[in-house]
Amino acid sequence: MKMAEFEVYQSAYCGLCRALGKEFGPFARLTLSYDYAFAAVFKMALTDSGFCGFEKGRCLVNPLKKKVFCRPNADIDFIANIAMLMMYYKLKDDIADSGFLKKLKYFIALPFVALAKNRAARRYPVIDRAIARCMDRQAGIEQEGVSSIDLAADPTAQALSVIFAEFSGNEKQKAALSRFGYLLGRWIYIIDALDDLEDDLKEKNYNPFLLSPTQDLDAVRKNAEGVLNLTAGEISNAYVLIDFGKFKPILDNVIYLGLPVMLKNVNNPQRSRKNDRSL
Amino acid sequence: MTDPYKVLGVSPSAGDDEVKSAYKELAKKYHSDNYVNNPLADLAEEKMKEINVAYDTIMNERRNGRSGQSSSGYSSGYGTSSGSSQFADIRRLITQNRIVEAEELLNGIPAQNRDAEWHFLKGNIFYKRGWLDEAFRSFTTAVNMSPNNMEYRAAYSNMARQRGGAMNGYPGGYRTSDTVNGCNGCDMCTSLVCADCCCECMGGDLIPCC
Repeated sequence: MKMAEFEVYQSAYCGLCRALGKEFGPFARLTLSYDYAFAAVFKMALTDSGFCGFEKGRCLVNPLKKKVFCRPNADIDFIANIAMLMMYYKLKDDIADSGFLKKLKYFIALPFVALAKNRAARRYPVIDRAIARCMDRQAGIEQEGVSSIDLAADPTAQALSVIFAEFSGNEKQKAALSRFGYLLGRWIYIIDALDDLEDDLKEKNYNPFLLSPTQDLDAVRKNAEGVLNLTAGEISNAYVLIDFGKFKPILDNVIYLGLPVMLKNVNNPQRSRKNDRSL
Repeated sequence: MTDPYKVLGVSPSAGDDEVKSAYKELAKKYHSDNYVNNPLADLAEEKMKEINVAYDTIMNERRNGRSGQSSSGYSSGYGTSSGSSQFADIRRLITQNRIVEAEELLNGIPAQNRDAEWHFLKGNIFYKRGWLDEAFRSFTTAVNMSPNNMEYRAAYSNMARQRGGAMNGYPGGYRTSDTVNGCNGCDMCTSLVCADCCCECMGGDLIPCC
């Protein structure tokens, strides 16, 4: 990636951080990851976006350094709202999954997050419902111990499908975005499952890959690689039909280089520690 | 009308060769072969028409100032040859993206009548839904049951190529896995089968035994 292109990414991240702090309070900034920066750049890259340039400012975390921010715009606010919704459902999920002490900690955070979530949900009820439904279905799938990768990935995929379809008002573009979102969500779910393979085996957690007929982890990894490549191939078929007005090289970079490299990293057993899996 | 140069992503001062190669690059992206049974096939076809018109407009303008319309252009829409299908109505539903109804009908077929085509259609339903793993499995079954059917084989080898890492629209052509970790045995086999398919389409044969 060229330096200038990285700066766009960085400025989307900083812009989001500022929007989250302003709209939902300082704790909301904690939920930010580069996944949302990708979503923001993607949203701003679409032809019908509200992107309105950059500006320089100071960062709260590192006030000595001047950073480039995306000027506040509708796209950044939109993604910030989605991040808030995600944070709420993630927190609820964590409460269900963790031990007593952690539960307590999360419970203290919950009312604040719930407040912010309600505000976001009022603005984007369709997305809120889609994520809620995804979490419900996911819980059911884990309880049943579903072994089909396709079915296991479906709730996440459906949620991202709804979210990406909301990125544009144009009916035809919605169709392409919806399929793109579905496949991207599927890809993300599968690569997370692959990344958690060893941990889930140790802790006896649900993981669709561990329920496949073969118990040989290398074979599982090899097959997962095929599944992910196939998904990325289909992502690219939807991707080329989406109309972008700008930032296309940055997105190309993520789609054509980022996805395969991430797969390679996750599937490399010698890596020292968990890579961060952000797009 | 939209600016034909914008559609092709080239500047009006670009030479004929540059226009042509930009056009070819896009035509490869939107080619109907990449979108057989894809729910986005309509959109791809539309894009193909757009670039065909843009290319023709530019070339005609350059050739004779203006007027006339003839031309080259990749054809869009191969149309899947259904031949004599016992599942014609199901195929129609799938083409119309009515996959819930299609699946219901398909599941109603008793097990002893489930031939290669049945598995192929099942694969298409999975594919449209984005259930790519099941789709690949169904296509594999279809090809194993009826190895000479071009339609099933095309669907299968397309996915096999993607499983090897092929992506559409990679700047500078198709991305294949060898940019990441070299060409493996699996790639070679699928490429050979692919080449064999192409040969057979034209009446020749590369691998006599299949």
